Amino acid sequence: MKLQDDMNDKELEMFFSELRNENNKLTIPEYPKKPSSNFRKLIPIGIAASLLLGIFVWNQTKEETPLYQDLIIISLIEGEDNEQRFVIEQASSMDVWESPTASLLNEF
Amino acid sequence: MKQKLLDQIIKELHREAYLWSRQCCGFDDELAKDVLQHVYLKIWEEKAKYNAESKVKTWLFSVIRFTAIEWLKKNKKLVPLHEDYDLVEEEKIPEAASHEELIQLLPERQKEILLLVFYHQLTLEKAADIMEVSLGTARTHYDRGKKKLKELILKKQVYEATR
Repeated sequence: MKLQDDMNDKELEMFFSELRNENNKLTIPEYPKKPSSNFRKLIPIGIAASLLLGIFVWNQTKEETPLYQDLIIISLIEGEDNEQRFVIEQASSMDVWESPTASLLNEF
Repeated sequence: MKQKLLDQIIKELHREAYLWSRQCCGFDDELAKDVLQHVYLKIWEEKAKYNAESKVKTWLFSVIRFTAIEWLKKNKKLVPLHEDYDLVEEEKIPEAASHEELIQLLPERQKEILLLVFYHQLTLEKAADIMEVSLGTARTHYDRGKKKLKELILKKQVYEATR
């Protein structure tokens, strides 16, 4: 039975061998060129751009912002002869603000 | 496996891949080219990933078969069938039919298994993997396919002898 099967398969093998020969005449298309992937190359550029943007935004927040109206600063300054006097200043921006009662924390 | 090595193996298998793609597309050259192009894109974009569980050829053939079925379904050229279903075709006498025309007369699964085993010289186990069927089912299609193809060859020979 096995021998019979093998003999029958020979016929099929011959059939497929003829088919392979027929296919030898076929024009096989060229293997397509793999498109270069720019994605990986863009990763370091993306990181650098994000860092630059971050630094830019950080610097922007540290800039002095103008006040919505001019400010009058009245300070009490003690002179060399222990004489106290008022100093009046006008400013349109302020980068440091100190509470008028802050001195109470240090001076008694 | 490194991507570069995989690309190299796929390039070496290109001819066989094209022929299998053509067989999956009913021997339509243009359709086979489109399907194979789509397969390569899937691989390059890593939509189809090789996980080293099988040989590259088995995996590539499986991707081609799947893509061809997907493509034919999209273009409504294929009617999905249950895996055990064998379409009973109306018996036709293959008048001066070519080898490809004779194979086309076989039910889809029988055609696939015979091409994988006899044409591409794959084992029944690998053919079953590609076709995503059990070994038992693959063997059934294989036996039925052999019987059917032998009958068609005999009919053709009788026809040619009496002409």
